[in-house]
Amino acid sequence: MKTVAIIDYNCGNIFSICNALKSHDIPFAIVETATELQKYDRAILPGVGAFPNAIKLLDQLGLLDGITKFVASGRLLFGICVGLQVMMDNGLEQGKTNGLGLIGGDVAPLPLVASTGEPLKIPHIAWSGLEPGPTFGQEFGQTSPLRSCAPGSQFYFVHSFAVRPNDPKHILATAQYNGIQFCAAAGRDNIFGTQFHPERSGAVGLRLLREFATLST
Amino acid sequence: MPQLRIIPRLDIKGSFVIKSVQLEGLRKVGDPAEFAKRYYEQGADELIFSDVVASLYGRNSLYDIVRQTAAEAFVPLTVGGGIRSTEDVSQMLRSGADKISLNSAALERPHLISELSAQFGSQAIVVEIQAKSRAGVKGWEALYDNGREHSNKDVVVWAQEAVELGAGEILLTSVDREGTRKGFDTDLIEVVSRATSVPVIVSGGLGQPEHMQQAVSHGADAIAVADMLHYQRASLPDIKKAAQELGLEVRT
Repeated sequence: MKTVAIIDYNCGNIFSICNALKSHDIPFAIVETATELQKYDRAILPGVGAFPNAIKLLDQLGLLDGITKFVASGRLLFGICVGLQVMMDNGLEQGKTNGLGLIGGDVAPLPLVASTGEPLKIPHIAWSGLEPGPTFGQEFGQTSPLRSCAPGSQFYFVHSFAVRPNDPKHILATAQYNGIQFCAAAGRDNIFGTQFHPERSGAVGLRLLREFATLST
Repeated sequence: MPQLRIIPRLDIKGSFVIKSVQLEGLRKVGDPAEFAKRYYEQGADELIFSDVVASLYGRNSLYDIVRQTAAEAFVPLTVGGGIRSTEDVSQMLRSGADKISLNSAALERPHLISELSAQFGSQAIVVEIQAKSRAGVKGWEALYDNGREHSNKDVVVWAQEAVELGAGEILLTSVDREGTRKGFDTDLIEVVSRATSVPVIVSGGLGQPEHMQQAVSHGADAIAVADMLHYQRASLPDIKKAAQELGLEVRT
């Protein structure tokens, strides 16, 4: 198993990710600079809170360029929650902000009204089952860490925004909130991200993290 | 309808899980980390720790318990009791908590909610409201210091204010029903749920499975369970099975 770099840019709680990796004896290192990041072949990009703040914090540490370089060299990146959102072209939270542009598309607010016409409570805080993305048939793609999950596997979500990849092939999984379907996992090539929190999703989430640690580059 | 979250609530005094009736008459029932681990393994959707005496002494003894639990239980952990400052929140999150619940400190200085949600994200900030029905008049008053002190604030007005300031979730505890097993205060759930836009976790009164259904039909998004689990009157799989039989969606 390869050592997983966890990018610490002061954007939320990395302790549950560390605990989760420890519990499965997955070696990890906490990195705070672009230089340190380049020493590893795979990294987790966490993140909570508002999109513009996450981008600002990455920028201050020189990590916008650092992550772009990391990914361009073919190494593996796993974004969690806002860590996925910042991979998109831009975010629409508190105005429009440019993202890393690693996946074409944007990050939009969840609707305030359900398909039934009832108001939706925001944030969406719930366990929801994953279904394969529109181009994947009945199973998750074999090249993403999701290959370890059965369709319908439930994960813990807490979010008010969701990513909208332009290319349907980049939607690896979807989930629903009161009839509203949204992108639950996105990715392409060596890039992967989840809107849900695998580190807080019990055994199935821990398995997903382990799968990431064992993927070949 | 999204899945109903079933959340064991562990009220803690010193190093023990305790249980009370209407927030009085505390009884020791067990070891917090041990209980938390068991509930995680049984399928808890989240866990809530609440230090019931912390706001009296102004100190918090929960850090060790949280650290131990977070290393063994991989579901969201909400911790409350005695949290008063950015430093307290930061230290609690670094110990492994995912969310912080605020009561006394937020009532004393409501802008603490906006400061904390700006820094840590509103998903990390839960406001607990301890609601007690007013004698002789309609409505509920928000209490604090585990039901010992009166704020004179109307619960609905306070809930709206807390959400406007950035609370991401409300933990609504009925002081009248707490520990009675007589069912949730559905009128209270209904008015708070309608008046706010964020998820509401209801706490206090669960005695039978039907009570969960009543809570959900009045707007509850999640249910806190304490004495039913602590006294082993039912296990989490029992509770979830009963919920499913009543047509509620739960994670299994």
